[in-house]
Amino acid sequence: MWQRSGTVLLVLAVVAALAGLFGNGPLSWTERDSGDGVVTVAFERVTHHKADDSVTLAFGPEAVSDGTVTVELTGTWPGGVDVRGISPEPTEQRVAAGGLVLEFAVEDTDRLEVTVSFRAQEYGPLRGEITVAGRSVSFSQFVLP
Amino acid sequence: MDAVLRAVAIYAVLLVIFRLTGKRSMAQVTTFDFIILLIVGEATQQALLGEDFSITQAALVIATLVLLERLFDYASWRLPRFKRVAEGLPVIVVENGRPLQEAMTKEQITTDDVLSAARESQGLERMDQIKWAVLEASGGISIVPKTST
Repeated sequence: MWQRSGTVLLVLAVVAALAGLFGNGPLSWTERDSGDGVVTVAFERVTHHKADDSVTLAFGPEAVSDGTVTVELTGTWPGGVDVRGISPEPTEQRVAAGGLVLEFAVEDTDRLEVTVSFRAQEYGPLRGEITVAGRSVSFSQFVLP
Repeated sequence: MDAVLRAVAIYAVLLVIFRLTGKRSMAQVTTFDFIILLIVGEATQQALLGEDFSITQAALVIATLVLLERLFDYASWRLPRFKRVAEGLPVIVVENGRPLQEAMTKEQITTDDVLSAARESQGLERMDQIKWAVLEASGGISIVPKTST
C-alpha cells in the first residue's frame, strides 16, 4: 500500500517536473508584454536557487529614443538575483532608486533583444518591473530552494 | 524538465555500458574498481546536475532515477524477455564437478574464480565437491555443493 502510494507520488512528481511545474518546462516558460509591443519579457515562472537562468527582454521601435533604449528594472527582482551577464552589453549601467538602469545603443534596427543571465540569491517570489519609454511590464518568478 | 531528461539519459548510458561489459564487470570490486566507480560518479554528477546545484534539481534527479529503477523492476517482473535483455540470465559454469569450458570462456571466468567462490561461500576445497556453480545475473558466483550420501 505504502509502496504503491510512493510510486504514484514519484510518477506525479516526475510528470510535473517534465511539464515544468518545478521550473524549466512548458508550464514554466511564459511571456508578458506591455500590450503595444514596446516591451516584452520572456521568463521562467519557477526558477532554482543559485542556478543559471535567464530572462529575455525584447523592445519594439517605439522604445528607441535618439538611438538609445533606456531600460529601468525595478522591484524585488534586481535585488534578489545575481546578474551574471547581459547580452548585448549595455553602453551604460547604473544603479537607480529601487533597481537598475540599462542603456543600449541601437543602430539600424527596429527591434532589440536583450538576454539577462542571472542566478537567484533569494527564495520565494521575486517581482520585477521593466519600464521603457513610459511603458512598463511586470513579471514574477518563484525561486525554489 | 531538464533534470528528468538528464537522469533518463544518464541511466540509459550507464545501463548500456554496464550491460555491454558483462556480468563480472563490477561483481568483485577491487581498489582500482572502487576508484573507477568514484570517477564514474564524479563524471555523471556533472552531467546530471549541470550548473544547477539546487535541492530541487537534486530531488528531481533522485526521484527520476528511483522511478526508473522501480519501472525496470516492474517490467522485469511482468516481462521475462525484458528481464533477459536488461539484466541477463544466470549461466551454469560447473556441472557435477565438471567445468563447462564454453560458458566459462564466454563469461571470462576461470576455474580459480569458481574455486575462490566455493571456498568463500561453502568452504569447499576441490572442483569435484561442487554440484553446480552458477554465474548469477548480478555477477556473483553461487555454489551448490554435492550432498554426501
